[in-house]
Amino acid sequence: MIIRLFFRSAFWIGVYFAVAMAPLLAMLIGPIPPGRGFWREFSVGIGFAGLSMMGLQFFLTGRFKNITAPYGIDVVYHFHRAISLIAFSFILLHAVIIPVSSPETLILLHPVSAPWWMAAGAAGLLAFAVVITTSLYRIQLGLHYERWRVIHGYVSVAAVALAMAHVIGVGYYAQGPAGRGLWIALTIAWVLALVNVRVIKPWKMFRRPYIIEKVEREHGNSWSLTLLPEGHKGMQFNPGQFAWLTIGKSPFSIREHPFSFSSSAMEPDRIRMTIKELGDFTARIGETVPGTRAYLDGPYGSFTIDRHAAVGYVFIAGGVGVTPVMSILRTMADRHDARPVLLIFGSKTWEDVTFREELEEIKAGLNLRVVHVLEQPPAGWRGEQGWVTAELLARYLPENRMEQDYFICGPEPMQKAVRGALDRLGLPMEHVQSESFNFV
Amino acid sequence: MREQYSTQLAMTAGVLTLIVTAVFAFIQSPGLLDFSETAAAKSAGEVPHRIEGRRDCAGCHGVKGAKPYPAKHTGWSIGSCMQCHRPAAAVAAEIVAPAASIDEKAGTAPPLPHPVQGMEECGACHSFDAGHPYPDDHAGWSDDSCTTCHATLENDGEKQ
Repeated sequence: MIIRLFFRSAFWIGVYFAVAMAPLLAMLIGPIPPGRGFWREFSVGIGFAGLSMMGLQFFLTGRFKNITAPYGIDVVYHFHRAISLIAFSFILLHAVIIPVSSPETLILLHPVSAPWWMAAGAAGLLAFAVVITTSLYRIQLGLHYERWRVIHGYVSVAAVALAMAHVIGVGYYAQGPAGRGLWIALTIAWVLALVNVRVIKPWKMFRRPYIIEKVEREHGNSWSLTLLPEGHKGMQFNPGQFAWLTIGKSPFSIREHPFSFSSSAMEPDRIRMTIKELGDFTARIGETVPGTRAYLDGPYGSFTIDRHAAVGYVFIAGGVGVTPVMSILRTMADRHDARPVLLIFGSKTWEDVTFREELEEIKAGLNLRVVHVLEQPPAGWRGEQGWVTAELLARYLPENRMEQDYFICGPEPMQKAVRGALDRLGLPMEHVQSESFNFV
Repeated sequence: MREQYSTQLAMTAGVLTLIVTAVFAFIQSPGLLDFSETAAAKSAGEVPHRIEGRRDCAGCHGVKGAKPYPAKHTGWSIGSCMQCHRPAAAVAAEIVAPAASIDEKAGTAPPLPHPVQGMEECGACHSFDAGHPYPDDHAGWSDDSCTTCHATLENDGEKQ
């Protein structure tokens, strides 16, 4: 399984690099126009590579399961974010190096006499800058997630289309059959990826609706939604995975949000998701009326024991990060899984401990030990308090700690701190799993 | 950790891309440190005809000229043509002495005494071995350049 995932991972990296580099290779096939100096050709090359990488973003964010499975979708999304910055740097360098190395081209930027393809290039660069800026500074700009997604989606498409128009208009390398054919093929592929994300996938979701049966309050300002499939058998998932949820809107509306399953994977026809009131969409999640129609896109994620076989598990959760852990524990109970499990669960107060009663109940059917760590413990609290530190972990980890698999889920600072603590304890990092929901 | 992994993958892809791009650019233009010519000049086509006395390139190569320049040249000033386009070696060799006289005469060239419509190939009648040879100092001028200096008559006899 691990070897297969490794080869799939290597395969997709190879495919990515080959496609990103394809425009450069196509330039060297057939009649090659004369070179115009190293820096001019270098800037053209990185411009082409930057555009090709930007076009590939439609695939990275298209949630293709074959692409995301070997890495986990969070890794793919983070890669999307990091490679966007690199691709944008390339495009920006292209725009800077050409006039510096060939000052005579500056006249093409004259606002009155600039040819259309130059205007398209400048507009494309501006559109890419808008996409990058609104993504990096969404919160500072006061953009709500849903509005940002709409802007991000449409401006990205416009930016790539304008950049393509620029390449075709300049035509220096896109005139030959190889160059022209390649750009046409890339454009078709990007359009197909977009059609898949915006039309085919929503259509599939539209044909597999769910009805929200119950909306239940949980501790820690969280709500559990129970979804029943309507006219189909539900969704098969691995415990710990998540899905994008659309409530009360059409799946074509781009108003979806990622949430973990909290129910057992053994009950695909009765799905629960537990959501904390944090802001934007989730602030009103408790107002959802039972009977409302919902749609799911999933399952996604590699934060699951089904992909990490071990003799036992240690879960370290913070706040609502316990949700996927709850799904794993419920699944293990349904499967009569007797492997030892330790849950170290950090919360702010005792009232904030989500699923605290249910965790006590589920112990009966599992080899489970739960350690609560409270940041602000009540008077008379005799349990752990403060933060999850290396010292605290050392007190509770089992003797065969090197053979266990570790799953961390919680806020980013907590994940980072716990990783550092596990590292200090000398635990092999390849046995430590975590998943980040900080996609934006 | 997982974000670090993504960042490492992206950085690797970025560095590899830069390397491949540099190799590509070097294959295309090995003269990495050759700054004697601008990039545009290196790729610009050679001028196949003599240029003495022809200051207004747009006369023949403007949008409505006999041989209009490519669309991607839109926006370039007429005075900038020679910054990139150089005379072909064969043409340059012919120019032993600058034909300054032609330049001076350009404004005084006599108008053509007949319409040119249907007779665009001037050399058919006016080459050295034809019935009405042009003067010796016109050597090297192409057929489509005659009307740059010589005004033409339309078929109806009106001067253009």
